[in-house]
Parts: sequence; structure tokens; C-alpha cells
Amino acid sequence: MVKKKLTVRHAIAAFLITLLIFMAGAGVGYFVNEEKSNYLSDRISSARNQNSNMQLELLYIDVMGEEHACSVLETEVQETSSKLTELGQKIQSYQDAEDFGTTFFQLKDEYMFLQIRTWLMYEKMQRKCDTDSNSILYFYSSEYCSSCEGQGKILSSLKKKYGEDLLVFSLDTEWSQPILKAIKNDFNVTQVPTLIVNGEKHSGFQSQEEIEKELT
Amino acid sequence: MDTLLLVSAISFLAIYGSVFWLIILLESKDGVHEDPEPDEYPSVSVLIPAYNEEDCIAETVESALAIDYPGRVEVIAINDGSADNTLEVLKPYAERDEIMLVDKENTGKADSLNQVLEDVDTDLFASLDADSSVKPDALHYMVGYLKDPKVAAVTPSMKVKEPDTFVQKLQWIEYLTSILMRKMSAVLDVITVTPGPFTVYRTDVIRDIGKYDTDTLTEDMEIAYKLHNYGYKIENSLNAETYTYAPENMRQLFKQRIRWTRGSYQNLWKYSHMLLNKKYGTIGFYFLPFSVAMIFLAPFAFGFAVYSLLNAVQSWLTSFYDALVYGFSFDPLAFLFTLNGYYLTVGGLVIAIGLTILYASHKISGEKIAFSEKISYVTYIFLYLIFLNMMWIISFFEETLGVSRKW
Repeated sequence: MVKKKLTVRHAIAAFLITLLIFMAGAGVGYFVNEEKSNYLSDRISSARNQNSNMQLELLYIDVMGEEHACSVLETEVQETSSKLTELGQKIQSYQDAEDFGTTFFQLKDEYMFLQIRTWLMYEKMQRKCDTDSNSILYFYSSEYCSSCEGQGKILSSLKKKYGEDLLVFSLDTEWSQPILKAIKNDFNVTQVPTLIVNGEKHSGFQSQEEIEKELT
Repeated sequence: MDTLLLVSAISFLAIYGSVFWLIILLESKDGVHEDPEPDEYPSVSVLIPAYNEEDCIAETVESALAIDYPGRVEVIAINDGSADNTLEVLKPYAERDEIMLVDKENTGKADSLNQVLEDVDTDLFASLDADSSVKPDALHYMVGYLKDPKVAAVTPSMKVKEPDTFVQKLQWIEYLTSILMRKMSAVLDVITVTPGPFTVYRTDVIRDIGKYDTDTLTEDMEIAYKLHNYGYKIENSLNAETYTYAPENMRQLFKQRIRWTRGSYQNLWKYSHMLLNKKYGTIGFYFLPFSVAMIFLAPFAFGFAVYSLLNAVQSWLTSFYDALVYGFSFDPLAFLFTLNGYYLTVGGLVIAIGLTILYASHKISGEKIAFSEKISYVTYIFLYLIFLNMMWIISFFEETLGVSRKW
């Protein structure tokens, strides 16, 4: 026959073990966060490098007035944009997991800046060089938008189909920097999702066929 | 972050409870199967109240007659005004003088037992529900505990008899965990139910404290609380095995559990003076308050655990679906991005604790894990425990709103 008297020792031991479980959770959570942050910042810094290359190439075209750098620039823009699109998906799923580290918003800021910068360089390149790629500027919300998930999937699927011939720039309208406000005003974006396909505005959810009609 | 803190705070208590039992288990696991040797063999009456039990009453009576015990055993069958052939099944036994037969108007189980207890002349008595049977050696293992005059009742180790339907198989698993919990509760003197299938009581003590209560829905719980209230102890023997037929479908099970949980509320209410009362020791000061807190917090903690699990499965399925429909490459790294390390770890450890308890339940009750019943185990872990939690919520509303049911 076993008899135990319930003691403070039992209560404390159970408390400590429970605490340990939560601490293990916090520890692993922190570790996973760090890994995610490292992954993102690695890719962001490589995109940043490409971005400054593009800047240099644009300057070159400006100064030399010659269009030999156009093909180099075009590849660069396409590559960077593809990378950013992929990165955007990761950032979104990161945000969906509600598992933010302290560096997350910093990384997201930088990602958004890069996205806009790349888009602007693309626009500038369009004016200087003769290219025939398609571009989609995609306004979405990372928080209050039920159809954005589906829209995002359609864009990913188009991106997969058209590859480097289609550039997708995704802008999270929840982001609070002034530059985004300016862009939203210029295109008169009032709802999400909104797509600017080759300069043409389409408000609301667009099916794959509808978008493809606009692509060359 | 806010959700995270809220969820953690709520789950903390639930996890604390499980860890606590695990510690008690680890500390006491070596001696749990040892029952004290009896010095003497007091006389025992086996009371079998039966209401419309023509199908299984014979089996029950046979098992009582087969009890192997050196002392005097008297089997008393009580026909509680059955409308079926229960009485006819019992008569031959009485004619052969094997049992004493009491035939009375229908007044319910508790009152039937009380009426017969007036005339019982044995030192001990055992209740034996008419849908249950007891192993011949059970009594032998139980009486040794009664050497301690403070012990007024000894509970058995109760298993599901002939689990056949899916719902019965789920209960088979559940009863094994109950066996573990009952023994652990006995270690701490906090048993709150003395099951109808063969609990042995001291006759004089039960008479002194006013016998069974006829007002609550679960008289076997009420009498346990009452014993604690009068300062008596309740013991448990793992070796004393009894088998009981479990409800075979969801409808019957639902009804049974609503009765049990509503009965629990009634008893908690009736004995609420024991709560947080130092006079009642472990049970009053720690166990009951903790149980009450768990009743209300467990559904949240549990609901959340299942929700986050389903979420993970859903996002995994979505990426798989996308891979099929949109032709995305199925990127395991991308999948990692959709997971939350904190929830995943805490959830994983909780599941590990749960599985340990499940394993220990099998071990302690001498049953093998039924690997052929994988679906039962998965259902038990993911759905059945939610069902049990829901019973507490539903019956809470039924009890506060005073919903009347026919039992």
C-alpha cells in the first residue's frame, strides 16, 4: 500500500516542470525566429546588392546615353523581382504564423522599400529601353482581406507560367510608410485586392483568365 | 503576442495538473499493486439492485455467487419494481437458497439500497450494479484495507466488459485511464467516486452517516463526498477487478455522461463548504478547488490545442493542394515558415505527457495497448476528450437553467 502526503515539494516540482515546458517552447520559438530572420535577411541583403547594381546600370545608361546596358539591366530587374516575389510569400506565411521576432518588422520594412525601389527602376527602364515584359503591381492587405490569399495564389501561378517575362510587385497596404500612401493616391487604390496590370487598373478579385487577357 | 499570453496562462493550469499527476505516478509506481494482507475476513453482503435488467442480471448474480472468500458472503438481489422479467430470472436462485431476494416497488437505486441496508447484518457490504460482474478474487484483495478504522470504503479497478462497438472501445481506453487516476487519487486520499460495480463499504459507517442520498443524480459520488465530509478515507485496489457493460452508442453515452457531470455539479454544490477549507485536508484545500478550476479552464486549453493542431494540418494540406492545383513546388522550408515554434513545442510536450499517461494507464491496469485499434486511440485523443469536455459545459448550462431530463 502506497501513501503519499501532498507536500509543498510536489506543488513546487510540478510548477517548475510546467514552467520548464513553457520555457522550452519559448526557447524553440526564439530559435526558430532567429532562423527565419536569418533566412529573410540573407535574401534581403542579396536583393539589396542587386538593387544597387541596377542603380549603377541606370546611371550608366543615363550618362552614356547608350543602350548597351539595357539587356544587363533587364535581366537584373527580372531576377530581383522574382526573388522578391518569392520572399514576399515567405514573409506573409511568417506573419500568418503570428510568430514575430523583434527583427521581423525591420525586415518587412526593408523588403517593402526594395519592392518599391525595384518597381520604380523597372518603370524607368521601360522608358529608356525597349522591353516587352509584363508587370503587375499588386495591392493587398496582410490583415483584412479574405480574397487576397486566392489572388496571391493566382499571381504565383501566373508567375510560374510566365517566368521572367512577368514581374509582380506586391505591396501590403497595411504598411504605413508615406511613399506607399503616395503610390496608393496616384493609382487611386480604394480596395484590396487591386491590380495594376501593365498600367491598367483592375479593382477587386481578378481571375487568372481576366489577368491573362491583359498580358502580352 | 496577446493571444500567446492568454493561451499560455490558461493552458498553464491544465498542464500543471497533468504534470502533477505524473510526479505522483513516478513517485508511487512501485508499490501500487500491493494490497495489505487481511488479518481477518469480516462478513460481507453483496447488494445487487436491479431495474429492468433481465438480460444481464443472471451473469451478475453468477459472478457474485462465484466470489472466493473465506468469510461469510451473502448475496442479496433487489428487484426494484422491474417491468420486465428480472424477477423471473432471479426466482430460481432464491428457491435454491443461493441468494436472498427482495422484491419491492420501484423507488430508484439509492432508496432500494437504503431499504435493504436497514436489515443487513454483515460487517461490510458491497454494491454491485446489475450490469456488472466481479472477479472471484476481488473481495480478497479489498478487505485488507479495512484494517485501518478510518477507511470506510474500498473501490475496485473497473474495466469495460466485452467492448464491441466503437463507442465501447473508446470507453475501454477511458476506463483504463480512470483506473490510473483512481489509484493515484487513493494515494493522496482524494477519491470522489465509489463506483457502483463492487465498492465495499463498512455497514455501520454508512448507516451512521445516513446511507445513500436519494436526491442527487449520482449517489455513488454523493456517498464518497459524504465519507470525506465525515473524515473517512476511501481506498482502491488495482487487483480487485470488476467488469461493467458500457453504453454502446453515442446517444446512450451522452445521456450517461450528462447524468454524471450534472451529478458532479450537484455534489460540488452540496459539499461546497469543503472547498478551500483547511479542515478537509488535501481534498478540500487542493483537490476540489483545482478540479473546479479545471472544469472551466480545460475546455479552453484543450480547444486551443486542437485548434492549433488542426491549423497546422490545414496549412500543410493547403500547400499540398496548391502544389497539385497551381503546380507550385512543395517546399518543406516554406512549410516551416508557416509554423509557430512556441506553440509547436509546448503542444508537442503536452501530447508527450498525454501519451505517457495513456501508456501508464495500460501498464497499471495490466492491459496491452491494442495496436489493432489505432482508430480508436486517435479518436480518443483528438475527439473523445473534447466530447468529455463538452459534457461539462453542456451540463453546466442544463444544471444552472434547471433543465429536467428523464434518466
